[in-house]
Amino acid sequence: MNTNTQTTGAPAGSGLPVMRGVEYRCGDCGARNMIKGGDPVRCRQCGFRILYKTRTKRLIQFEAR
Amino acid sequence: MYAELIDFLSRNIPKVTDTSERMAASVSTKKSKSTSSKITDNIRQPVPSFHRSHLSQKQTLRKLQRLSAPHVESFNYFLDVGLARGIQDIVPYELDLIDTSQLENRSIGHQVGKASDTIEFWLENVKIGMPTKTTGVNSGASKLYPRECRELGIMYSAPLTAEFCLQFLRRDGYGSSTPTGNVMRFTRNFGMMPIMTMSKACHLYGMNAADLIRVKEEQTEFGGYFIVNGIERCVRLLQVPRANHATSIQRSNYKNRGKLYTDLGVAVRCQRHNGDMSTITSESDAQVVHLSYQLVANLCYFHHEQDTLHYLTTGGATLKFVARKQEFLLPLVLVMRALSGGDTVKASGGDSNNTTGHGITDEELFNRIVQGDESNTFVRARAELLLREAKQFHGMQTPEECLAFIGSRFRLMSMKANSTSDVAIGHYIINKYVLVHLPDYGDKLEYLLFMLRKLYSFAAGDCGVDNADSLQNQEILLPGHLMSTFVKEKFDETLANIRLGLLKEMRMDFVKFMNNIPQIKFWQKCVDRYGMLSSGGIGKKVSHFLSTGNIISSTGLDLMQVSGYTIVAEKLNFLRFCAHFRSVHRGSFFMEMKTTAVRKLLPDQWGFLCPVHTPDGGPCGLLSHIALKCQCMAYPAATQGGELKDLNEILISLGVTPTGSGGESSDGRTISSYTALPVLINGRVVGSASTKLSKSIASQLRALKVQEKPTVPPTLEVAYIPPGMKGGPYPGLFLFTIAARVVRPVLQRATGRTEYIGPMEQPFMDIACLPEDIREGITTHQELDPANMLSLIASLTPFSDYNQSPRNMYQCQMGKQTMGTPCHSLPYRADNKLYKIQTPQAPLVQTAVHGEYKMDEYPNGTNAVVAVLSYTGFDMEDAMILNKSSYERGFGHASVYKTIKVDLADEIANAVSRGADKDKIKLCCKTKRVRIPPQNEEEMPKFKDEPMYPNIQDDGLPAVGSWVDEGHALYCLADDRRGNGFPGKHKEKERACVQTIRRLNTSGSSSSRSAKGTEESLSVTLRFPRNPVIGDKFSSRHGQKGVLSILWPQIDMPFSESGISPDVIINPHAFPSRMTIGMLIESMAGKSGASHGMFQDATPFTFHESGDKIAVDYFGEQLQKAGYNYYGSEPLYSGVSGCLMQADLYIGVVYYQRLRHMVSDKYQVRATGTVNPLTRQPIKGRKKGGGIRLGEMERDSLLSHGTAFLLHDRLLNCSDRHIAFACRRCGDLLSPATERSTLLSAGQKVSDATKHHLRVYCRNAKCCNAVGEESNDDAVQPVILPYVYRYLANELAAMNIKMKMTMS
Repeated sequence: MNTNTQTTGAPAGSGLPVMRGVEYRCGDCGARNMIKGGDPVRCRQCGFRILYKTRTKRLIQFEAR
Repeated sequence: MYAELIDFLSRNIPKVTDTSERMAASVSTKKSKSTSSKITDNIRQPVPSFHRSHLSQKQTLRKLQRLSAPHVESFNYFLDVGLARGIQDIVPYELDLIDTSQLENRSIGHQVGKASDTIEFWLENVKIGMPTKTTGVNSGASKLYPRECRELGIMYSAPLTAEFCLQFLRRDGYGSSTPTGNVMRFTRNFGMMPIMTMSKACHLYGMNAADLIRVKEEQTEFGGYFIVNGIERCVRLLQVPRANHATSIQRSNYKNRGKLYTDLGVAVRCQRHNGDMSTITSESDAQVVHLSYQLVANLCYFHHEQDTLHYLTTGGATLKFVARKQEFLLPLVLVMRALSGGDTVKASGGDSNNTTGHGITDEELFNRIVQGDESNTFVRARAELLLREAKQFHGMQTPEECLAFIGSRFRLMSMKANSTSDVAIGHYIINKYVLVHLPDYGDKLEYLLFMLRKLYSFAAGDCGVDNADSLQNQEILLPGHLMSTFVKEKFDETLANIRLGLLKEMRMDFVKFMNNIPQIKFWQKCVDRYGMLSSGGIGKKVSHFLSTGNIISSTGLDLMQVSGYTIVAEKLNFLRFCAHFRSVHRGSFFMEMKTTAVRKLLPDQWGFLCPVHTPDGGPCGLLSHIALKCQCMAYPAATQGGELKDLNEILISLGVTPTGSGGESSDGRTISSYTALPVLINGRVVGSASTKLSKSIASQLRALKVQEKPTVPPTLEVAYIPPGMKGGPYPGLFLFTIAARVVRPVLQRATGRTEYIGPMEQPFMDIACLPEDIREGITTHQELDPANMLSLIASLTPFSDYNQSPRNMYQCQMGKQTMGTPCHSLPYRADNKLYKIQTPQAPLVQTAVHGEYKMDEYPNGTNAVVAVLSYTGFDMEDAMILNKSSYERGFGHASVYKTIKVDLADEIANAVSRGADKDKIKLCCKTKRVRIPPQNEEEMPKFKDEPMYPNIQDDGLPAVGSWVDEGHALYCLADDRRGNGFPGKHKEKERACVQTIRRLNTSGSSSSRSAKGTEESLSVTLRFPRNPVIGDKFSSRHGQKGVLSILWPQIDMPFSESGISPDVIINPHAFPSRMTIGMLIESMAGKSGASHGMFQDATPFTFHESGDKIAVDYFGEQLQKAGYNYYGSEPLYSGVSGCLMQADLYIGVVYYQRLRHMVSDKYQVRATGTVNPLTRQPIKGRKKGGGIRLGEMERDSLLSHGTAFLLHDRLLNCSDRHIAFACRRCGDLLSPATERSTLLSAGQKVSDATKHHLRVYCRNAKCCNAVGEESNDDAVQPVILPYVYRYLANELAAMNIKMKMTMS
């Protein structure tokens, strides 16, 4: 999920990688928003104040039963 | 199960036609022939459930919106009239511009002839806007919808503004005043007023289903609640004494008021009434006439005051009224004399001195009390005495003198300026506190006389005490009406505070004050500061009231309680949600009452409050629910407009002798005869009429009520109370048009039209319930439907008329605890907890109400094949066996949704206090450096960063759709320092799936968080899968609950001849004592419905026990046609042995609900765990992993069995067992000490302690050191004790008490 520090260029040992955006969807217009750390939580299209995190595309269930 | 059911249907349905034909031919008896033809009609048209109701989607929405109508309409009333009327009703505050510091004589009081400058100030143009938000991006305001408030956790509110008005006056000291200058006025914001959803100030008002879905609401949203911090709360309906109706009361504490007081009184709760008009029109519903919508309403403003007449042992009477929570008693004659002058002067003007005449004479007063009843010595003697006693009021003969006296006594309380005369204050008091429902003084006097006559009749025993617990003498306090009074009081208080603030300013620096007053800036500042508008103003007070349910009031608002006004409208399931808006509470005061008289089910409530739908236990009988067809009048009935004629004139034209004509008395009123009955409208004496005439007037009014275009209001309550009942109610003709009453429809037999009747008239009417109850010549009315007495929830119980009544009560409770379909807008809701069933079905057997309200949109359970037999032994004691394969196919599968709300500002503040960097802390993935071991020894080791919390993504939050276990992080805050970051963890043991993650921006909302740094918060919705496990609770719709005892494999389940095996097995013992025949019939009906592919009607009172429509025969015939046994029983084969069981077993289809009580939430188990650090005993509480207390009673029962070892194990070994050293010689527990460690920890073995050869010695100098060290060692011995004993020894030692043990 997280890459190593060499590629992201964070200070060594800081424990904080440079954050890439995570996709959110606007609760009103449904527009995609990439939100980075420190970005205001607000839809760029309509200014709505509720954003939903999009569902992960990763495989969730590993063990087949 | 489903596959089977479909299979079952497909195999059986084709059979139906041929069997039915075959059967129809072979039927021999005449009776069954007629029924069979009916049945075949039914079978030919299988009706899908959704089309059973003839109502369209729009009509259903309207119907559902009627459920919350008492809430929504009364709030509309508040917006339309109540608020403005309340502000208008506040008497302007006044202030003399006098330098109080310069005054020598600071006594208060009016000085005649002393001119003064005065300021008057009041409020006007009060307005409530629409909920808006500032988006920030376009910097414009846009609509704020309820959905956004729910998710953001904010208040759904709109700005409340009002105009502050100010006028300078010059008073000449003789009562006249002239304004100097213009009225100064400016608008102020009085805070954010919470708005009821679906009211006129809500954006959802008037939306159709499609619009509602567009704004992410339920398709059937009916509103009626407020959104307070994201939580839906509604105001409880309360039963309060009927307004404007004098009731006789006997209360022993009345005796405590004084020496002469008896326990008798007549009280009236007055409701101010203004005759203004407003038109509210709306299209009528196809089925039900909705009163308040259809009519031109007469609006009133609610201002309640309670006045009581007290009866004294001497026969006299005093008038009691309550002002600012204080009781005041006035001599009745004094008030009557004050009233007799007429109300030519208004209190506010202060221009007195032109009061007419000398008022009422004693002779006239006597005549008006006695009404010519010379033979009645009881009343005569008392009236005489009343007047004789009044002789003591010297110099209080004329109305003006009386008013001046009253005014002088209430000057301080009235907060009037010194320049206001005593008489004006007298008027002010009379207008504000004495019989406020009657503005006219002549009417007030007449009503006091009416009350006095009732009091004497009550004292003489002619009329009895009125039952305050009967709905007859009650009305419903609706949220909007409560809000009207509450907000009015808050505005009044704000003005009073501003007055006090101005007085303070004036006192501090009079010259500066006088210089400031022409400036509007100064006044704006004063209003803001002293009205406390910056801290939220009135909106804040209302929101506090709504969020806590506590009313903070200076006057008490004539209410019995201070808390418990609001409740959370939980969306546990749809039924629960609906029921919140239909519930009526008697008042929390009665909850603590020992007597059960209040809780009694009285016949008076028939048709108005549901007899079935009340909880058992604590609130039984106090919390009831409005019947489905009963309506609460949010607006008063119109008395003008349309075809309506003035009620007064109608009455007079019908023959009522008015009190207002004739000219015999000083104020031009006739004195009615004692033989005639009084005629009152809304607590105003109109006149009198003879008994016979009154009766005919009542029936004529009823005819007028139901006309096509009625000339009297259709909701007019015509309570004709006949005379001649010794100890019965006081006779008269009482008419009511006011709001807050309950009305219900019945059929008027004479005209065949629907008439709306009220609870006061109902006991004196002859209403037949069923056609066979009609007695010709007596019965005037008939019930539209016998099931109209039931509430919504009670109407949904199928065949409830076949059940023992407590079982129906239980079902009303359990229906509301079912895991069902709470809502369809699930993704847009952030409720703390929601239950949702995954595989719901529409019930096969349903009532008419179920269809009408389209309850299939919110299904609550599953149709299950239920066999009644004692099979494995696992169905003992109300347990039920579930077919394991049914479970695997999805029976009862459900989930719980929990939402965790995190305010990031709080979290950051918390992290900063624990050493985080304030500027760098944010939501992010905390990583840790991990060393990668080198491949070979020459290479340097490599390092890489790994996330510290594996499930957290780059934004510091878990992936949506991922699973979290106990201890996993739900979010993580971190800065660039070392450490673990600041995670918020999943604390529950249960595994959950991350359903939704919301990032919320709360900026620009009413609750500004800008002070705290960030305006961001987040909410995480977790889904807990909760499929049935052993111990979970299930129930049918007949109060038959049980727990799941085992999941039985289908191969071992019994099966019928057609190969059906049941989903559920219940024990036959569930039936004999509980007598839920309705469930047996449902089983038959469900089975025949499943076989014929149709939904069955189970409306109560449609089937009869004898005659042509017998339920068992009706469904028996259908079953027979489907090829089953007539009575629904079948031979079953044992699933284990394959043998036929030697009995006919009852098997059918019953709708099963899964209740929310689940073992996963309840199990409590502990071996070892947390202990209390002080006593070292195990802690309690399931959440903390504590144990269950083995208390005294449990101990006693174990003792009685002689199980000493078990007791010892429970109470010592598994509790706070401890090894202590005690000195044998001095018996002390505290003096022994070891050389190194002092104490042994609990649970340490004695051998361990002694193994180390620690020298344990006693430190007590007196006993041990004197003897010598060698022997001392022997004296100290380890003993096993409860640790609390040691703790006790320590505590006692601290108090200088030595506890000594004697050891052998």
